[in-house]
Amino acid sequence: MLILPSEVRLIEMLVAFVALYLTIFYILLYIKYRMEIKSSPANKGYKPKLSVVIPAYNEAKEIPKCIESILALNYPKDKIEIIVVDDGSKDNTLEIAQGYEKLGVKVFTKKNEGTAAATKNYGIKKATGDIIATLDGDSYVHPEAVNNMINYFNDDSVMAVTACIKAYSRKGTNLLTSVQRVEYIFTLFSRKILSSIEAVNVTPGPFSMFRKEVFEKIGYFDVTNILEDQEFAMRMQKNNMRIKSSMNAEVYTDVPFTFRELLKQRTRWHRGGLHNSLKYLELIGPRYGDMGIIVMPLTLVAILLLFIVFVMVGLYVMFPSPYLYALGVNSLLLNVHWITFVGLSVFALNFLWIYKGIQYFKEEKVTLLEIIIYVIAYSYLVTIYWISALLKEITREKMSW
Amino acid sequence: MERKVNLPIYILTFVITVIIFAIGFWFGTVYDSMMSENIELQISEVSYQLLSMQLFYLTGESVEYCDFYKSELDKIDSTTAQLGYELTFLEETKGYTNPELKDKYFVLETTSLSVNRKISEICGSEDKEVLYFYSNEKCGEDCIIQGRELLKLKENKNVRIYSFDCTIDSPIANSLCKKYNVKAYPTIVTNDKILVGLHKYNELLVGIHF
Repeated sequence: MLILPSEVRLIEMLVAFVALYLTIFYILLYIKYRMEIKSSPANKGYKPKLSVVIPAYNEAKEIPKCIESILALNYPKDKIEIIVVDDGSKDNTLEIAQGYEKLGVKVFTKKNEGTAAATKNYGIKKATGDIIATLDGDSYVHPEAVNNMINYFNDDSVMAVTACIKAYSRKGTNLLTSVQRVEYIFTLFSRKILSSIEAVNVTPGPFSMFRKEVFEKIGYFDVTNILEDQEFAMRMQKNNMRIKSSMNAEVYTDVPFTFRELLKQRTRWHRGGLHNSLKYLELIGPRYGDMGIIVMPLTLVAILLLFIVFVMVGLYVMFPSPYLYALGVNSLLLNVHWITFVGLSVFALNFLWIYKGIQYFKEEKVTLLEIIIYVIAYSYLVTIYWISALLKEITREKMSW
Repeated sequence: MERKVNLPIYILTFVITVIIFAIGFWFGTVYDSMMSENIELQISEVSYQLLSMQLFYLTGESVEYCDFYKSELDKIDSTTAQLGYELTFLEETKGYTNPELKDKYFVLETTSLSVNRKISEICGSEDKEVLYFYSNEKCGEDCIIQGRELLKLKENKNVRIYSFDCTIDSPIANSLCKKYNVKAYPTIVTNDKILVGLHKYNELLVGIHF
């Protein structure tokens, strides 16, 4: 097979352009909206009734910490309703949750339907609060998280608020969990910027809050969707509902410890993301402002190009030019192309941008080395996730949570 | 909800992106010319070595010096081949073409070919001589593959390969192409045979009579 470097270069050029454009776009947005990004809404004493719905499937080990974190919230106790929905767990999640009934926790159990959406919907239909929060059973919240989020609802136009989700692993720390920790922190920063241009496209499962009327107006979580939290946010966007993002409402979620677990999770996310992007292609276009003109289309293009370039580079490595061997080390010097310099600037700019984003979370001790590893590893990992997701799509393997 | 359209940011982002691309392109151009100067310098050095060889055998053609001639020519051939790979690699990876540099390289190859022939007359030689005519302008994938097949041949057999692009402005390459009546690409001329069209490694072994 003859893969010419010039063909790879052309794709690399497009990837570099899109990546550079997106990074600079985010930086300029940050400069423009920095005051809004740094600020949090004032506390005007608004304390609506809050229902926290906790869907749980085989979470016997994690559910106590999750429930206790809600019980420990610094929020009027008479204004919090805790609903645990056991999705037919095979372990003793139900029994453990029932142990908290004496503390006012409402516990329900239902037949397993294979998706988190059905479990959340079951709990949401039982909820009586004006604001409904969904909290994954393997996550726990900071005592001030709800206060920090609820203030956003002072603005009547805000329909949902996402939390400041941070990664932890109950199994310990390793390179993978470190990379995920950096990823989660940087994602928060990016989401906050997206929030300033009304382009948040996910209300993450670990902890998100919604006005009850959202469900009344656009329906519940899609039970056929494996990435229901993203689908729901995209549906909200389609209906022009505002989603805000909090940078100080801390929530901790358990992240995969092994590569196998991570791959399984990300394959699900990417397959779900692909389905949702195709389902909501209509969000592309000027009707949806910056999100429809830049964020959605360029993100899709970047993913596609990134995938193509890795496949081409892979083929180039598998079928290398024989001159590489003949030239030895010299080939490295000769291989330096002008796009290499652009690539280096993309790398440097991204690195500085991520560093800047992480600086927002001073309490998080992230080393430079962790950021470098993240920047280098991320694109490779994403490609692996996409390959895995596409393979599962082709083989039509059933998705489950 | 009011949607935001930050048109000035789109434009400013585009301008900054293009500026970074332009700076990258400028760096790349400077880098390429540095590499090209380096190749040119090496061509001059090898040409000088070849000139020394010519002067040496002109002062006294003797079989006594055959070992010296052969070892020097091997070094020169190896460097010349390396320079050829570098030029080809630059063309393949970057589409980088510098006709002036290629002309100098073809002059070097032709000088090397003449010196080799002369030394073979004096000392005898087991090496096969292969002239490879190609065209970057008129022959695409076939010539790229042919170049790679010849490289494989050079790595495995005692063969001296001289490559010439017939369609660039190089008097020496053009006259050789005319001399061997090259009409199609790739064309391979050996001591006793002309092979026209793409020939894979095994076909070359048969065609060149190894």
